Amino acid sequence: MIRVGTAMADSSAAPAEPDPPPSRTGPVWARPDRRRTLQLVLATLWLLDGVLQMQAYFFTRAFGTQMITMSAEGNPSVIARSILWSGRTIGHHPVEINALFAFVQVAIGLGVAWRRSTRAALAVSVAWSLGVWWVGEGFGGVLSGAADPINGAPGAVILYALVAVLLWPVDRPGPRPAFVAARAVGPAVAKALWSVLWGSLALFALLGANRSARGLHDLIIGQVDGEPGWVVWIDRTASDLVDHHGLGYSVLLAVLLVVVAVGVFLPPAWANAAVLLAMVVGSLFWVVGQDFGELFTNGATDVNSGPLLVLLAAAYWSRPVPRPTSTPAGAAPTLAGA
Amino acid sequence: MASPWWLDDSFAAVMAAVAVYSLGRLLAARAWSRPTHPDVDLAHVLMGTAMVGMLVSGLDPVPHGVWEVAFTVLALWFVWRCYRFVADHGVEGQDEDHVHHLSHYLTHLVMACSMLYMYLASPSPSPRAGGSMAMGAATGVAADFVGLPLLFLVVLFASGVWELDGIERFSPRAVSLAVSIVGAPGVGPTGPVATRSGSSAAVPRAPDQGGPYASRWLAPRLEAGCHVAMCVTMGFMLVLML
Repeated sequence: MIRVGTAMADSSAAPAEPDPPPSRTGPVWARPDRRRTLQLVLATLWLLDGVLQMQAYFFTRAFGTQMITMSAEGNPSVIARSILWSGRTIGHHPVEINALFAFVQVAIGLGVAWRRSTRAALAVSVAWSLGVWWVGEGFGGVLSGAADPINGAPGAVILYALVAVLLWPVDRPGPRPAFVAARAVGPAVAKALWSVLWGSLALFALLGANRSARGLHDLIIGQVDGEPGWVVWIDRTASDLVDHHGLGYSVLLAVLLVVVAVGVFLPPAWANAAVLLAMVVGSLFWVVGQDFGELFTNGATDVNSGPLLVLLAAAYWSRPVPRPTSTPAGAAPTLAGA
Repeated sequence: MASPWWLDDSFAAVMAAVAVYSLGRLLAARAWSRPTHPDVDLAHVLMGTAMVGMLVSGLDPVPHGVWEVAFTVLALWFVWRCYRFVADHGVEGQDEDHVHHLSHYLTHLVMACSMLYMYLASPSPSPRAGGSMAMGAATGVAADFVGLPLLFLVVLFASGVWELDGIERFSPRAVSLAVSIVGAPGVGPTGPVATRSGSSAAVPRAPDQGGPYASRWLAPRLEAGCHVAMCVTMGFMLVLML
């Protein structure tokens, strides 16, 4: 689509990205813009998840009867019952059901990557994520009071759904927003979603065992089983650092997360600082609290929340907005984004 | 604990198809004088055949040790290709075909290194009942280097995803449009050319569609499809080694 010369007039609008050349029969291929690039990163993560699902353990009964049913713990009975039923069903047919799980996730990854099926694949990914968040992750421990942002709460899979919505390939009418996440839902909704997510992470950081002196230490050191030596070293070093100071570090973390949550409402430079902080925090979660998604233990079905938080933050990065300049009358039209 | 035999066999079947197709592609390109990258096609033949042998141990056509040498040579070759590319076109330049970038050769370098890693890090292959997969998790010192296959894995999947994203640029309509744009006054093979006044011509850019050269490139969408299949299969095998 060609938009004539108004993209720079609004100070909240970002510099235009080049569009594909117009065609009589529809758009042709163009280099990925920022949103498309983030969609491709999302596709890469889905593909990785699908292949992780093909690990031998997930074709056994234990996947259903142990791993899935474990997420029922602490949930309200009506939800716990549905999770237990799902776990038993998967346990009875582990090969067929897990093959379906793997196939769907690989198909979502490839579907998002292929431009003709991007929308359909994103829509399926949202529905799939919500289902897995319920059955596979027990709502990330949100309802059981066991949620901890460091080890992945509120659940990586719900972040897939959120990212899919924010990267949905449509644009609201009007000037293009300064950050990608606002293109489909608008700046106000995008910022509200960001604040709810990071605000809830701040709240989870102060819940239950996270306030205890050794809670953080136990959380970090409790997942070293099966990890390679250098990951164990990272965990031991980090857990020693926070040992007996769990409450202090949890409060510090909650403060940082609140800063991230409200940061997007600040002017662009400060908002970008908050987004950068979010990326650092997400990376830290992934390395220390999540052990790289436990990818090295042959028991991970996804990469956990760290990379998703970083990807989400990238969608909120505001491009520097140039000062508005007066356009000379009769100037050539510019090609703005679709 | 092993993955289901049918999963390994399915991946092996896909890799056998890719290897046979790539071999046919090499011959067809020569017979019909169509441009292609013979080294990349040859790499696909070797990797496809080797992976069939890894996935179904009874089908490995060459003795133990030969593949390690082959993929070392292949990796060195792609290091040389990367070096030549940067020397000739710079880091952000395009190949003579106006389609491929440095990432094309880097990806194949990573693929060759991944194959080498899988052979060196896995326990010695031993035929199993039913001829199922001969690969296993990395052992010994290699078990502490699991960050390396993870890096390979991410590069391969990203490459496969980006390749699939770009597959539409080779559709007949896209290529014909690129040819028509390239034919317009003031437009070079990859976009607007500078005019004498120093500004570029205000004509839409033909984005990486390769122009007339790409229209002669032998079955580019099939080539891309093979690459995607190879990235996914290699990724599957690397995941089992994490």
